[in-house]
Amino acid sequence: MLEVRNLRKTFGDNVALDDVSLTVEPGRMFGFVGANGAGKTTTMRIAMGVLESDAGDVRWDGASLTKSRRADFGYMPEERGLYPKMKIAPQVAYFGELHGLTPAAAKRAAGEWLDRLGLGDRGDDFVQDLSLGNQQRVQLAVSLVHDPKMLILDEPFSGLDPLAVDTMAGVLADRSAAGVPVIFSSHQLDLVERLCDTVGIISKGKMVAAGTVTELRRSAGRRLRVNVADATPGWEQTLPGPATSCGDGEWLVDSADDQGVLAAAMAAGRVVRFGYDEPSLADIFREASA
Amino acid sequence: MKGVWLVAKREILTRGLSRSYIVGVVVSAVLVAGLTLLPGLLGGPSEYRVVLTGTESAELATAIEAAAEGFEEFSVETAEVADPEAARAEVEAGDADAAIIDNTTLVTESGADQQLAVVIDGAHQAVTTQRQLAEAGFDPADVNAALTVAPLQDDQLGGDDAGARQGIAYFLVIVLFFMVMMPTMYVAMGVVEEKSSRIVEILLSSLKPWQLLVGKVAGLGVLGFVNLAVPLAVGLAMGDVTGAVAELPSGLTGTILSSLVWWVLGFCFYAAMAGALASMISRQEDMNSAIGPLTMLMILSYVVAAVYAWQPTTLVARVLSYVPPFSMFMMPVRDAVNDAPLWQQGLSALLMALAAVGMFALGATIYRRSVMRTGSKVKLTEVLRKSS
Ligand SMILES: Nc1ncnc2c1ncn2[C@@H]1O[C@H](COP(=O)(O)OP(=O)(O)OP(=O)(O)O)[C@@H](O)[C@H]1O
Ligand SMILES: [Mg+2]
Repeated sequence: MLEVRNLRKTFGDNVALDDVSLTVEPGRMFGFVGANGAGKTTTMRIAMGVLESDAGDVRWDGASLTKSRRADFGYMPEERGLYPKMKIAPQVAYFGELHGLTPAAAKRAAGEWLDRLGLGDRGDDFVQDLSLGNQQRVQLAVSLVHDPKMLILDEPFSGLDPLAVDTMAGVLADRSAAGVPVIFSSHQLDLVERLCDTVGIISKGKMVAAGTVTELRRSAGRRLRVNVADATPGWEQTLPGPATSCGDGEWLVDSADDQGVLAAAMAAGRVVRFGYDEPSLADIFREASA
Repeated sequence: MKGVWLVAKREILTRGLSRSYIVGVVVSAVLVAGLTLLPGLLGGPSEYRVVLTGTESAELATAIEAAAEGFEEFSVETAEVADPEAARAEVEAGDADAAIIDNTTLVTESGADQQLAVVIDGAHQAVTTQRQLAEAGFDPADVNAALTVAPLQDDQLGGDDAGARQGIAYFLVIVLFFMVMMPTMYVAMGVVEEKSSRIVEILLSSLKPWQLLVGKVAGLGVLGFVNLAVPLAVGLAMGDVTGAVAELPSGLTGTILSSLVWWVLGFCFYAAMAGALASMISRQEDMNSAIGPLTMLMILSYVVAAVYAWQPTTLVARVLSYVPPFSMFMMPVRDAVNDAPLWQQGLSALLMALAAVGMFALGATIYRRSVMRTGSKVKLTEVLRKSS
């Protein structure tokens, strides 16, 4: 279990992180979302020990993290980095050795992961000769080669084609099912919604929401969506709560009095649509980041 | 330690097995080997041949051989030939270094070497004077006695072979300079490569910054050392076979070998500095300005050493031979002229080693603080000021 506790980080006068806490549990996939510059990368870098925090700490299985314990982590940085003039298979194996594998085990694991990621026949190619998406697969292999006990991936899906997204998602789900805590950041909210058990939303350096997708939906508050055909303009004034227009005569109403809303709508005209609106993650995100 | 070794091993394997590196080592080895084959690398040939023809050839030949006996460094062989044409032909073919015709004309390819000219001139003057005095009616025996002059005693203040020693010292300075400069540049380029490709972020998740720096310096250092030591070993071995090493002034083989130690110390010092300076930038384009201080220090100490290679026993040279990093050039220079006893060299090496360790400590700190900062160049004052 990875616990990030009360992180604070400033760059000059810019407060990048302000009291950020989150927990990634074993066997759970944690989706980390937030607007550009919200602080996702900074949080992950501190968790990986690449950056030092001003305050707060990161704990792993209840004890503070050291370099040698972090060697069990797999990391994919936001700005991908590989040696452009080094062959793929030796490169992946090199990172395996850096994480403590024996040379033979590293070589074997590198071969297996490259096979699995569809690069089995390209082990002797130089990284610089690969397409961007394929370099990304190599990057994933680098983060997985030592069979990590924790995965921290910064935007692993960006730049991937739909097939590669499926491969990547499959690998992550598989690791997660094997009991490895996984945290990844992404701007593809549909993907996060589909893959993640837990979602954390960060905005301007503060965690604004965290929990399972269902919990987030519940706490975001359910709203009623209502559409009345041929209603006279201004009829929404009669509703028992504040209403926001979604265009085309649709309104979102914030009110616990569903029967009251329905009555007001029926009085206004022919009700063609009425029901609770399930907010998508994108809606929750927009609201939380506003 | 394992981390350092892995980093070093990667450097050695990726760069050391590259074609350009292997070709480089082989080419320098061949060049150095070729150098030992050049005759007269250290001053002219040790054996001259002079052919004579016409009047007074016999007297001249005797006088030349007698005069040459006063010199240890070379000997002169004389031979009489039939006529001026034969004499000229020998010089033209390079079989003879000089021909003397009728004790009046000196034939050479392009002037005689200085030491040979001294011998020939002396002989010519002696023989001619003797004849003219005899013609004037003096007794040849008296003339001979009067003309016998003991040669001036040769007492070179710089010690024997001072010129050759200084020349070799100068050569060592040049070799050390380039052999340290090159791998130092590779360290700087490697650091920037890792930083600009952002791979350093993954590396730092499993390695400490100092491990990365030390491993890189060690790996590239091994390659640089091989690049220096292999041609040197080949040169010494070849020189041993051809006799060139035996001709070296005594003790210089030791100087050449100990310059390997100076190379190691100097490289550690400059490589640590290069790593630190390069970690402050993110793009190869900024390299020149970033390592400017290093290049300047290195060129300064090189120029100073190149100048004092010819004045190795002056006070300035003695003082600088203890001051790191000047000592890496100056101490070999002093050692080349036998001016520095072993304890002085040891002391100076110790100081240089301490400076290198200090540079590593400072370099690792700068590296740790700046390697994760991207974008514009990190300011040195900023990095040094920031506490821990
Ligand atoms: N090395 C740095 N130097 C100065 N400021 C930085 C640095 N790294 C991050 N910041 C600042 O910290 C804040 C958080 O940045 P961070 O990269 O963590 O955002 P993010 O959530 O990953 O954004 P994105 O979705 O664009 O990747 C930003 O305001 C950014 O300008
Ligand atoms: Mg980011």
